[in-house]
This record gives sequence, C-alpha cells and structure tokens, in this order.
Amino acid sequence: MQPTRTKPNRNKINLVIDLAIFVAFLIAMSPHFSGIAVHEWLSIAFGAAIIAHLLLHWEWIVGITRSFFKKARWSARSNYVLNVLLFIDITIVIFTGLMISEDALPLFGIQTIRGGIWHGLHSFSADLSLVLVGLHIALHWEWIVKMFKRFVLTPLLPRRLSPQMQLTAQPPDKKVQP
Amino acid sequence: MKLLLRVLMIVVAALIVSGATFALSRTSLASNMSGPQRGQFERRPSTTADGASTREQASAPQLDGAGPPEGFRRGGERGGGGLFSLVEVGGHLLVIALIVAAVSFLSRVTQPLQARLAARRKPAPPASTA
Repeated sequence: MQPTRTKPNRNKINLVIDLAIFVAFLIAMSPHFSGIAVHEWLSIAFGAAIIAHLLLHWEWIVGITRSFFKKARWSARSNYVLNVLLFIDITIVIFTGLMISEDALPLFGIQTIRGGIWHGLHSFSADLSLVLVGLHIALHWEWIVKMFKRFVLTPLLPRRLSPQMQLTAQPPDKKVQP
Repeated sequence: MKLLLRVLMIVVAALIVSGATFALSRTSLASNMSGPQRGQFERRPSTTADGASTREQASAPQLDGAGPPEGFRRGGERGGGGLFSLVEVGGHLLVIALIVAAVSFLSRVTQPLQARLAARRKPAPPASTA
C-alpha cells in the first residue's frame, strides 16, 4: 500500500512566502539598521523571492494579461497595473542597487559605479516602492487577515468547545468533576 | 521545463526594465539630473590664511560627481546601526500601515456606491407571470 501524500496547502505556502518577503523588504529598506552587506545580499535574495512569488501567482498573471482588454473586472485591472508598476520599480531598485554595490559585486571583482544618477535613482525608486508595496498590501488586506486568522490565530488560540462537545470529548470512564 | 520557461520569462522582463533604465541613464536628461561631472567645478583653495576655507571644504558636500558625501551615510550604514535604527524600520512600517488604513477606509466608504453600481448593472429579473 502506498502512503497517501497530502497536497500542500497553497494558501499556507503563499502566506509564509509573502510574510518572508515582507520582513525581508522591511529589513532591506533600512540599510542603517541592517548594515550595507546585509542590505545588499538580502536585496539579491529578495529578487529570487519575488520570482517565487510571481511563479506562485502565474495563473492569475496569465489570466488577467489575456483578459485585460476584454472582460476583466476593474478591480483586477487596477491590481494588475499596480503589480506591473511594482515589478518595474523593484527591478529598478535592485538594478540600481547592483550598480552602486559596495559589498556584493566587488566581492566577485566587479567594479561598480560611484556617483552619477544611480544613487538618486536608487533612493527615489526605493521610496516609491514603499508606497507601492503599501498599496499592494492594502489591496490584499482582506486575504491577509483571513489567512492570518486561519493559519496563525486559530491554531494558537485555545479551541472553544461547546458544552456538548466538551462532554463528548471526555473519556467514557472518567467522571465529570462537579 | 515549464517552470524554467516561466523563470526565464520573468528574468527577461527584469532585464528589459534594467536595460531601459541603463539606456535612460545615458541620455542627456539623466546626466543633467545627476549633477556636475568630475572636474567641472573649479577647485577651491585648500587653505587660507585663517584656515576657514579648509573647514568649509570638509563640511561641504562633494560636488565632483564622486557619489554622495560620507556624511550622507550618517555613519551607521556600513556596519548597521543597531537597535536605535529600528526607528527606521518602524517608520517604514508606519507608512505602510497608514496606506493600508487609508485604502481600507476609502473602500469601506465607497462600498455602498459600488454595491449600487453593481445592482444597476445587473439585468432586471424577469417579471413573474403569477
């Protein structure tokens, strides 16, 4: 007999990855807190996490791309436009960050540019990403709250049993204390 | 194979954005925005009789296109600023929280309007024959 394989919960995976991306984003956005080395390496890893995030939502991306000019709802369209802007902005943040890298790329002997437009562009796109990420979270806030309740709060909080269930939960030979 | 193709598509999209950014940075508009280039300004005299100019030069921002002055980094960026810099993280968290709160408030306010619009778009149910 083959062991039954339980299918991993898609929502749970999404929640864990999104939470990790959010924490990484907050830390990467604060180079004074993390230090420049952590800031750079975490941002590179952040790029990989974004790819994973996009792969997990690939069906939605393809679906809206196909129906964008046809029958998609306005909420889906605005969400799509915001996500495209966020992708462009995050790409610019990571790219300009690599261009002015002080720790990550020089480690491989790659000389990076000091000065020019890159510092300004990096700061501007990073500030913009904060607003776009805020809007992205805001548009998915209901889902976040729902999943947080289901996968974090409910398992943590003591289960509220009805009196009837409490009675049935008692072992048959054990007497109920008055 | 399908997964690799998808990853490749994402990477290509990111490369297009990066390429466009790089190309835009080479335009004259970008070079004007980045400030004066190295050697464009006449160098100040390093010292004066009272030494004031040297002090000014030390505190003035570098305008030779060699990146932001060291003072811009506020000292803590290289090695991490520790717990005090948590304020920075808190500030970012606050901005995101404010945006989420504002969008939630707006969607709650406009919810009756959206419901009314949706009801208007729905076709009227067929009249009962009874």
